[in-house]
Amino acid sequence: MRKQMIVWPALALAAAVPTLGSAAPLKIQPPQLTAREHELANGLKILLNEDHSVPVVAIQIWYHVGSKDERAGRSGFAHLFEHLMFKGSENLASGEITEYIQSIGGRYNATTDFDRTLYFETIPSNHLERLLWMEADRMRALDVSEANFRSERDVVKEERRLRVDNPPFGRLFEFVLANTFTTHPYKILSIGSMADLDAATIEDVRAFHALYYVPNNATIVLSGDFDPQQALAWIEKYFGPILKGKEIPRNIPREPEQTAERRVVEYDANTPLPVVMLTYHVPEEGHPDTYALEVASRILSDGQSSRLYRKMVYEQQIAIQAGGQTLTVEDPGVFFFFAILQQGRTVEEAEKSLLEEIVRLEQQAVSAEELDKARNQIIAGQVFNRQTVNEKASAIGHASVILDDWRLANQQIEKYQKVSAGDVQAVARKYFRPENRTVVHMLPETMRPNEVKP
Amino acid sequence: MRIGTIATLLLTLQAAALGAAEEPMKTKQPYPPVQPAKDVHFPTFEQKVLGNGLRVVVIEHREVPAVTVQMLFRAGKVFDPAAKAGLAAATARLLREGTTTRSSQQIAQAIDSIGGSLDTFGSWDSAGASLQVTSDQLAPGLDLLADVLLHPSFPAEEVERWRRQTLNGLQVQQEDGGYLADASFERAVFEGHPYGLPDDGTPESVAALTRDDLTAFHREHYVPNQTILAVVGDVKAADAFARVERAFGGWPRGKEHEVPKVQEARRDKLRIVVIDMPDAVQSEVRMGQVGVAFADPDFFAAEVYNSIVGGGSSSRLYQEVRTKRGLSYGVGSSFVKTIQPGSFQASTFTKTESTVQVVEVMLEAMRDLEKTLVPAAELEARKTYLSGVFPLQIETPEGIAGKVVEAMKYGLGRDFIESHGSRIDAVTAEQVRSFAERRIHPESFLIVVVGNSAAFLPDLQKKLGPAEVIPYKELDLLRADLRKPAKAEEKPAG
Repeated sequence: MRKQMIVWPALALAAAVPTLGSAAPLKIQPPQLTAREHELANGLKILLNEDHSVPVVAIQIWYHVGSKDERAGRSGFAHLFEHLMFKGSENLASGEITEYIQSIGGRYNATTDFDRTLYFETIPSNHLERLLWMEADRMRALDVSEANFRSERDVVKEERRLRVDNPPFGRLFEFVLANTFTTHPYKILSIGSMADLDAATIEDVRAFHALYYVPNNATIVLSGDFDPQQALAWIEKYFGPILKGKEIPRNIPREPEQTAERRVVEYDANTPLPVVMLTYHVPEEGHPDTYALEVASRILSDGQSSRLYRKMVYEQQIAIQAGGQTLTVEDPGVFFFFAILQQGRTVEEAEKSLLEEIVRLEQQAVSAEELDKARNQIIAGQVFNRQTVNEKASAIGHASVILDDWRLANQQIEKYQKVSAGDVQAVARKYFRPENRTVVHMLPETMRPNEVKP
Repeated sequence: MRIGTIATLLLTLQAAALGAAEEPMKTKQPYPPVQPAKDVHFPTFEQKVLGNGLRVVVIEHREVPAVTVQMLFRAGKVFDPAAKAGLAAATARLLREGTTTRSSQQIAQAIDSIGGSLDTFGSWDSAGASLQVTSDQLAPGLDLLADVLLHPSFPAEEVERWRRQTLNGLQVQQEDGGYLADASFERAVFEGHPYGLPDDGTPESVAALTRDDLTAFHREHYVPNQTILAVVGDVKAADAFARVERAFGGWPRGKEHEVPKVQEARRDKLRIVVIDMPDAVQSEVRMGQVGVAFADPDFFAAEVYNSIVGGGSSSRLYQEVRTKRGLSYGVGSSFVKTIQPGSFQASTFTKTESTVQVVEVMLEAMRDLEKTLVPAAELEARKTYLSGVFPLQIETPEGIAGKVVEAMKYGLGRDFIESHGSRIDAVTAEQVRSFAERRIHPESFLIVVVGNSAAFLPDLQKKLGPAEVIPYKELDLLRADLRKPAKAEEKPAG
């Protein structure tokens, strides 16, 4: 059923040129997402969001497993396994599912992060039954051969070279996480290390599959042009017979509280300009304090009028890029402050400038204008980022899998809107403390002291 | 200039493709049925031409309370003088750094405070502007857009700020093998033509740009009679046209500019350029030639050809390089289609040790298409991808606006957009083969490899022929021969 939309005719506003920069609240709200929720006997969760505006459907299969579920010495597994899911199953040859999707004009991809793995495609809606049958086939009866495993491992290693080992700043994030987390698996990137990838065996991978790729660890989200009764019947038919798996282990080592500042300096051949990064431990997504932290992030670095851009990039020209933002994850995560320096500027002055902004947040309430601007940016962002069926499915799926309640996809916006200046100041004081931070200076290899220059 | 900072945490996959394309897929269970296909229509739109020649189109799209405005100007890098490469991009970028009534920070504050975005950017033939606002903010958004486009002031302080930031950004890019491969390929494939100039220029050209250059470029190339404006979103057409007329109707006409012709010189053998980066662990590979213009009669054959060669995980290059041999995480090909013929390029990256192998595999894959007809099943699958993806491309106002603006750029209309699918479907296997034979010449490709040349050069030259080797710090992207001029006492380059 088409959503009824309130349309605000632009003529209803004042006829004169409006005053810009005053950050009056937006007169629209992000559309509410709707979803019907079901669960099969084998534990598979189902979320259905109807939208008949274009004859397409987004199908998403979420598995609640990510790199934080990997055991020590076996990093990169969740992501490597994501690759293997395309290599064939009982009724599908290797690559057949993606060949089929492309042959009908669909698009697909898959993604792994710290907390979940997600397979998704957007297809013309008349092919829904077939794709559900295919997704069920690879959930039920995946075939993992030694040859496919080796070939995809090579591909993953090329991916690691592309993203981490070869490009400018490629190693930065990996290095920062390794120094911010001592115990929790967030200390390792989901791409994993070359050594662990090389050490992986087919038996390891099959064991990982058996444990996590089961219907009671999975959620299907459909968004688009379909009949919910019909879709549910197909899902029951194809996914119903899949056996429920064992209870999913969730013994993830907790990160102990950080009680003293850590400082690290690193020299790196792929770092063309110095970078300063400060990380602070903050709560997991959904915690009440995260809303004020997000508002703080917008005030700090969303747009060229934001505090860090204005001061460090525009006025002082210390940095070519600077910001403050959260890593939003299922277990307690981090808030990053960073600056990529302009040539000739020092890491000391960049760190000092960032710390000044942190102290300012702690000591002075943010202005009403900045608060209104952040609010508008968050609201408008949610409008712009939920237009395609795939984006809608992602919003619903994420809230369900990570936050345990799909309705939070609609409810979070109100929590952001309620954040006050006092809330922002309170979270700054609570989390941006020296004892809670790790400071990383990453510098070009050519700046290493005592370098003998030719 | 954008530089990736915090590395992405989400690893996206380009999944494996099928094996041998000739065999039909074997499955144990038959596929479930498919429902009848539904018709898809491009949304209705209205077009007007204002008195000053500005072409305006409005499309009502009510799915979300948002509006996109996209504009295209005949103001791309093709009009850069070589010594001032980067001028078009700089002009576009600096539009939003000051007007006659607003400072850079006031412009930033204005767009940020309504949660919107305003971007200006340069490209090959054109420069563009893109505004995105919630539907209640169309009036202030349009007002701001018109101000930056019609009344930019290019403050001297902002020009210097831009210059410093760009020089810093170029410093990062000059260490990025992928960037160097793309830029070198473009420069060399177009020889002297400005399509080959680096988009943001080089340290030398950026240092040479003056404020007068920017104001002159704006005056010359930002003219309504060579501009397209599309409004797509939660609007009423009559109201949107009225607002656009109010904002842009007073913009005076200017001179029209034609894009200089691309000369296509044919070689009879490969040109191989190796750019040496001794610290690289991966080689970046680019190969190709001058391609087709948008108006070329072979346009649709070229689209189908490209889809078969390197358009996704079912393509020939993907199967040969990634699926069968695991040599790369990414491989593909593309035609840049522009007013004059753009480029055709196949690209990939691989660990140093497999550099020569990947080049040979790619050349062989492309030679095959001149000789053999594409099997019917493969051809159909590629064609239905190209035509079937249409509804996905028009889910958002941005997607819709993009299609309309592109069609209008080449003087085409709704017919072209709606008939695209059926014209793709009409391409035959013989047309694809004939296109490959007549227009694509792997034996005389330009091949650019950026990487640790000591590890692969001897083998590369033995198997493919002589290569020019340029240390990456001696690269000069303003020159067709890619090399900084030799000093007087050394042998001349080339």
